[in-house]
Amino acid sequence: MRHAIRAAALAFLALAASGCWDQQLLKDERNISIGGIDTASKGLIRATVSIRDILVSESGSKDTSEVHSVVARSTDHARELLDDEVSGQYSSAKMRVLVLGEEMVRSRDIMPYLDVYYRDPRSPLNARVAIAQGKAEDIIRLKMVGPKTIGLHIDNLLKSMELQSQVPSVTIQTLHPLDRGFDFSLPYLKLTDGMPKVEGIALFNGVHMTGKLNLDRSKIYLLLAGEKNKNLRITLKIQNDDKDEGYDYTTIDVLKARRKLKIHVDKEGRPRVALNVRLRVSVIEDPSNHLYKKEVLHKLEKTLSERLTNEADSVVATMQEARHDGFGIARRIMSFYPNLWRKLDWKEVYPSIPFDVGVTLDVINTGIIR
Amino acid sequence: MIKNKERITPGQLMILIVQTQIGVGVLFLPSTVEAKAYNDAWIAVILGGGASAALLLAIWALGRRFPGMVFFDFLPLLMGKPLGKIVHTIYAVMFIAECGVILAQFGDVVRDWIFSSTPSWMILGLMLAVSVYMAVENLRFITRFFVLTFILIFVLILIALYAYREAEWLYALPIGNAGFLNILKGSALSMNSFYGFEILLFAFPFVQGSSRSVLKAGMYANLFSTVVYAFLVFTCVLVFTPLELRLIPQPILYMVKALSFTVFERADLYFLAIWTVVVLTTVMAYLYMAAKSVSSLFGKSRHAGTVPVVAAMIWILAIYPHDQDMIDWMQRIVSALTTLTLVVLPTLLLVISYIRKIERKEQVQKG
Amino acid sequence: MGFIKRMLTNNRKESKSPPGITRRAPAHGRRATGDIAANVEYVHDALFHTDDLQERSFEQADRPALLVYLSSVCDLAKIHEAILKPLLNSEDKDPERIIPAADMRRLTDLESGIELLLRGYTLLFRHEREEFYAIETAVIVQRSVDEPSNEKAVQGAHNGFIESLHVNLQLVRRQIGSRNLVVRRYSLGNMTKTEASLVYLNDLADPEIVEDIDQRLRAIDADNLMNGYLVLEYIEDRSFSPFPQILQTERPDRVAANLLEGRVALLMEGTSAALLMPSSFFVFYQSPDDYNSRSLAGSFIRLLRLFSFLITITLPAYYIAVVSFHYEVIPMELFYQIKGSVERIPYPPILEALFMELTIELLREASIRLPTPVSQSIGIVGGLVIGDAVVRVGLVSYPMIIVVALTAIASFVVPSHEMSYSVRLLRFPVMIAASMFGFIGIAFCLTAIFVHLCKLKSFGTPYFAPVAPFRILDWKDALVRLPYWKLNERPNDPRPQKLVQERRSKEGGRHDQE
Repeated sequence: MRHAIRAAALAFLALAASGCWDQQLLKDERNISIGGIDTASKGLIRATVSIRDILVSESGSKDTSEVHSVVARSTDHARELLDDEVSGQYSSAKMRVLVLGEEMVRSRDIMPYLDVYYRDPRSPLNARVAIAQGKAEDIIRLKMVGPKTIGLHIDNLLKSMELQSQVPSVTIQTLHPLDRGFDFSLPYLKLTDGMPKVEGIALFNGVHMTGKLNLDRSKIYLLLAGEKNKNLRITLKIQNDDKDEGYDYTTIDVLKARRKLKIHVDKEGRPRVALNVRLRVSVIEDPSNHLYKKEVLHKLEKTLSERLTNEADSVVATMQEARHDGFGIARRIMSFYPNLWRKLDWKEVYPSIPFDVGVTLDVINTGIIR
Repeated sequence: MIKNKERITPGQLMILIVQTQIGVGVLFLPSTVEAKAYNDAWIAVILGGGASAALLLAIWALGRRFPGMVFFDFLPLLMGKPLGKIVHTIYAVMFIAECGVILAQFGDVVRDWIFSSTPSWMILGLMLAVSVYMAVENLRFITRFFVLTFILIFVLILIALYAYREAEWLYALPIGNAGFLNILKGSALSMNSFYGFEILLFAFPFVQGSSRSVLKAGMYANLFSTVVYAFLVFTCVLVFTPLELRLIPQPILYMVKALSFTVFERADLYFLAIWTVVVLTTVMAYLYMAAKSVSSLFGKSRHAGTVPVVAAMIWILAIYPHDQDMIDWMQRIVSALTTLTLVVLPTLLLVISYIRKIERKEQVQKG
Repeated sequence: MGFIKRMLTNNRKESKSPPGITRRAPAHGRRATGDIAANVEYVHDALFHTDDLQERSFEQADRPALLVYLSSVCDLAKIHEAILKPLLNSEDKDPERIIPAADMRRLTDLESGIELLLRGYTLLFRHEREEFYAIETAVIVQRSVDEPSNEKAVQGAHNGFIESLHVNLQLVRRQIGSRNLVVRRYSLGNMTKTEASLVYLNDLADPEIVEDIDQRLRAIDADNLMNGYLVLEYIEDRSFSPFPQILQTERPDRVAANLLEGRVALLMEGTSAALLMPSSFFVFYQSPDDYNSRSLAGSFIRLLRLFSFLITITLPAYYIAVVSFHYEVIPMELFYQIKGSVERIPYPPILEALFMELTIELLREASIRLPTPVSQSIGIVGGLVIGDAVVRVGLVSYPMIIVVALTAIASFVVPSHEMSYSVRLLRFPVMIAASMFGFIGIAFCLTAIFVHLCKLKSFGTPYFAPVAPFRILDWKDALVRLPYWKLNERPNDPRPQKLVQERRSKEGGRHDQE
């Protein structure tokens, strides 16, 4: 009996050793570092990718980028076609950025094309997402920016913009909008003089892009959303004198931002949003004022506060026009006023919800001089 | 009758119960319960833990009346020999079936997440081979290994904690949204993950200490499992909405997948490797229980010879289903079996024991 | 079926020695007679007239007497000084009053006399006396008590055992002055008749374990038990386990320390290592260095060693699994670098790894036998030149070299030679499992190893204590090294009779007041 068991075990092991079914040898893979989806005719899509290779030789290592572009029916079909074109095994497991063409997100529903990312266990769910003005293909076809490949460049660009609180931190994972109760926004890239630059952020309503904010206003937007990252600097015009224009601007560095968002519902079931942000800032640049005088400091605080509140109002107006619920008002109503939520037609109600926005700030320090 | 060689301490008993309970449920529980109880799933899990505590209590009370005897020793005393044999067989079948279902679920996860082409009979076969290696030993050695791997549960929790960086606390509100009935339905579903306390049926006579300490160990074990499961479910509630969870059968893994640390990415692969060991402990325990049931059915006192045979049976059972429907069907059958053997029968037996005053005369035993 | 059997066994013949040549000692001995010639004839016969059996006849107190000795094992000077000289110069009839030898025995059984003869004793026969004497005159050739070369300690005693049982026992007794230190003698091996001694502290070692060892020793029925390692394999619990269950050490301080924890030591003539039993896994990771340095340093080093165990087993397997199955876990910055290095290698990583590992094993094995002047240069050649050349050609990649080198270094951190081999052997199954099933394979293989560790027993005590069974109090000397005044109790695993080893001492040399 024991011999039978031993024989069976050996046979089992021999079978086991005979094949490694799921082996994916690293050396055989071709990994893309950036991918882009654009619209193509007849309901198809154009997928463009850049494959990054590092050649390790005696003199050091060299980065190269290989660009491919295909027209396909769906994202996975594109993968198939790309695999046909590429030597080795095509793999998107290490993709850093996914770029979507503007036309794609304005006119079509992007979700079906993202489905494979959610289904395939090897997909890069922590890849960043960005919108490109015009075609994503044009950006990717740049191949290299300086010594870096395009994928690496865009990824680093977006990363540093995130740290400066100029664009929100979004990955494919956080893009899944199903009944979350807020709309997402994405960084907006534009090709200027052959260099990709972040122009601002794109506002979304559901799966469609419906508006834009430039960089200055996106900073305010992120402040209001409570998503200030490590650094945030704002340069504002605070006065309009006859003197040289250089004296008109002030730059502040926001150290801490505390946001309070509250929803009040009046007796007729109409919601009203009270949004207040309290900032603690330090003044980086202020050529005009002599801040050693307390009144001057307070005046500066007031002026800045007014300016920022105005900016905030216009940001909120743009959002409402674009029907972009970036602050998660819907989620709050769902959580705190579930009965009200059931009765509301959100699409109609959101653009007309009154917002009370206020930005106040305290200047903490002013650098090594006053 | 109870050799000194097989004794375990109450602390070891606690870990034994915990490791048997915590297994495949780590990945499947949140989705299953949230399907019924929405964002109150964590409350459902806590209630489920309470119910399993009650069942544990019933088993303990039974075991206390028969000191020094394993469940299958006193079963014929309570039900008479022929009926006792039938019930005994039902238990053996239950253990084998439960183990088979656990393995089938494990195989599914491995197939979906890592090895899409590797045949599952291979993976499950290896799983059983390693489990056989451990299960041929007596309880003392098995418990030692369980204690060794206990720390892995904390590693899993640690990894899951990182999800709180992106947790949306508002998802948990409003509390009570799902309605009491749905929460109860969710609790019933969660019971499956709490099953494992029946190891007490086998381990009770081997514990060094008074029956009070056994009860304490059992209760702490159940409490620990409840807290762990509730925590995991709560985390999933905060990270995913109920609609999403309908699509994601293993939400914890999904959540871990997107986490990115400086030193490694795709933490879900590490999570899976560690979870494999957690499932292994559950499989070892069930294999032991099944082998013990079968061997005592044939009157043998040593289960080592039965283990490979039982393992082969479980293996065949686990590789048999090849689509989701069959797995669901198997789960329903197993669910019925477990309800019978772990909910109905212990209470029934306890009642019989009290009414007919059947118990073993207390023998003074030095612990 | 029978044909296959015949095919596999036809080379083995039953060995039969020609009749008349073998001769076994009669079970009940042989009584000496007053006839010297007959006695001597018997002795010559028993030793097959071996040429190194010498005689010296003389007259003492007007009676004929005869000395018989094996010239190869006797120190002739001792015979002159201790036996001949006093006997020839004295008229006393009682040799016991004349011979100034400490080890002198009066015997009547020729067979026991022959046993002693073979050990270097001289037999004194006297005319018309049925008793004869055996006097110890063995020649002592031994080397100096130097520190063993493979068990060096930075601080601590620098002496070591040598091949003489007598000296070794002396070294042990010098370390422990307790009257409870007991020595039991054995004569092992039917042909070799090696002297062995079991040493233990009577009030500390578990008597069951001592008896168990005693039984195992007596149960060996073998011809050759010449050195400790042979005995070890006979008495250990599981010879097929990759892990050693008996600790071998050449250091007296290590033996003494272990005796004080309740273990038992087996010393043998001709072996410079002592065998310590029962041993647990963590005993192999203790070194005298830990005990001779500061508590924090000792703890750190010990944790480092235990960590090296994990590294040796899992690092190559982890690398293989990552590069073959799960390359997504490599962080972004490192990813393309590693990919670039691995791309040029034509075959799968498991073959790369096996190739490099085997090369390192060959280098290691070769370096043991190299004469010292050459070994340095071979080390450089092997390490640097071959390593670099192999990468340039494209047989192996740089990351693999790093992995293999780290693993090799980690595997030598273990203080015990045996355990080092075990650990190095274990990494191969894990690597193969990793190459077949990635991380899951590693999980399975490690589970199997740890299950084995949990099951393994050394003379009835659990091998993997204090981790399994979990005794956190014993961690104070297994995983870390707390200061001595904190180590109030002995570790549990050798099952000592008394647990308390020190009383109420505090830091700073103070003692707890009543």
